[in-house]
Amino acid sequence: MVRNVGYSLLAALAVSAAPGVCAPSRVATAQQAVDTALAYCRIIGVTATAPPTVTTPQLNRSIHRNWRPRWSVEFHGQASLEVADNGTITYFRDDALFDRLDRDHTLAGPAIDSAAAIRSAQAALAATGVASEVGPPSATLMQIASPPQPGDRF
Amino acid sequence: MDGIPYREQSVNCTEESESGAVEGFNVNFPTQPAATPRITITAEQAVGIANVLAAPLETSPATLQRVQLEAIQPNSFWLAGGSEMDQQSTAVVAWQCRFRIGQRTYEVWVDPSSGAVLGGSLTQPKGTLPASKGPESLADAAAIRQALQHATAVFIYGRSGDKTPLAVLSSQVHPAHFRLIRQTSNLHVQGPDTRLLYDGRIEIRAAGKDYAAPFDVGTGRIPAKAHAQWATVPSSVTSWLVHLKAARRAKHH
Repeated sequence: MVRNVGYSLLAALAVSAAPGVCAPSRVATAQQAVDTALAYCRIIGVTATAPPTVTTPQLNRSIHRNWRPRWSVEFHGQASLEVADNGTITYFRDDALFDRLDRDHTLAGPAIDSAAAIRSAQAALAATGVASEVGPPSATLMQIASPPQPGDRF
Repeated sequence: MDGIPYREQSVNCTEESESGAVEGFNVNFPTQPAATPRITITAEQAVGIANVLAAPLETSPATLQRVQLEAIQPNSFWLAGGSEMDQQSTAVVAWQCRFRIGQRTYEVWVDPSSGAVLGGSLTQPKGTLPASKGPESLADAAAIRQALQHATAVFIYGRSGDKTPLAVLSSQVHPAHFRLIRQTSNLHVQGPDTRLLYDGRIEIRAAGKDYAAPFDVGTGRIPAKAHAQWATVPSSVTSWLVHLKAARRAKHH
């Protein structure tokens, strides 16, 4: 049985209301940033036990475009996050999942449907503090290599 | 503001295709929230304003594709020497008027309270680029100058394959600049920002025909020993026009 393609799902949620919005709590210290990041990881079920590395708030040094100053919090090998000064999570990367997919050299199997992909994205965004600002979502199934290649799973 | 979409502001979430496991997401909100707009200009009025700018650029008729309120970051695309690259860091609500003209799609962003033009954009499908099949190619300065004498629009691209020009000049919208272009004998395109420049091209629309002229960034000259020198294309053509003025003054002195 041939397994199917190296798909990646991209759910792009277009903004239809004001960006910025609800401020769960003010984040003024590195410890508050870590606590916020930990709380988020706990909610979405991502392990974050490694000692965190915290970078002070920055506006322009991050490659991610956001107008708020953000703390960068990294749990080495597990997860990387950015926490805005108003407590919203503006960036998340499951480093452990990336590493696992990077090492997986089998072809990907059939993709879940777009409705399921959107539900998964909405669940991840629900606890970020920005979820209420985004408009109707759309999902795009993306194939990294054509023809699909083993190892193109992330 | 409820229901008004932001232009190019989104949350992008990537998941593993089989399981839906979230690999990561990025909240791309580069601006503060836009203020709630005071709307005194109707959509129809906005289209009328936009049409004045977009329609003269092409010989084909302009077809309105869409008009809607959208939170945009103003740019100088429709100003003389302007560019859509120099967008402001604030978001404001505008009427987005989108026209299809021939193979190109133009946008004009109109302030819903004043009717002022806040910016816009141009996109075109890849298949229409000159590299595959398109405008007649101009390779020497005399031919370029001849085309410019009758030009109704000039499009400037940082790369030969770019779909979006760095700047657009229209003879109807920017008549003073076209007078300058036609009177200048020593055309010299130069700007302060060369980061975007690789193998640029200009397109000249003149008397119902399209022309394209490449320039070679390595030498700063059009590849056919032109007398006119097209050095670097500016991110804002303002500097180009300033340079033209300087060249003209130099000639008269």
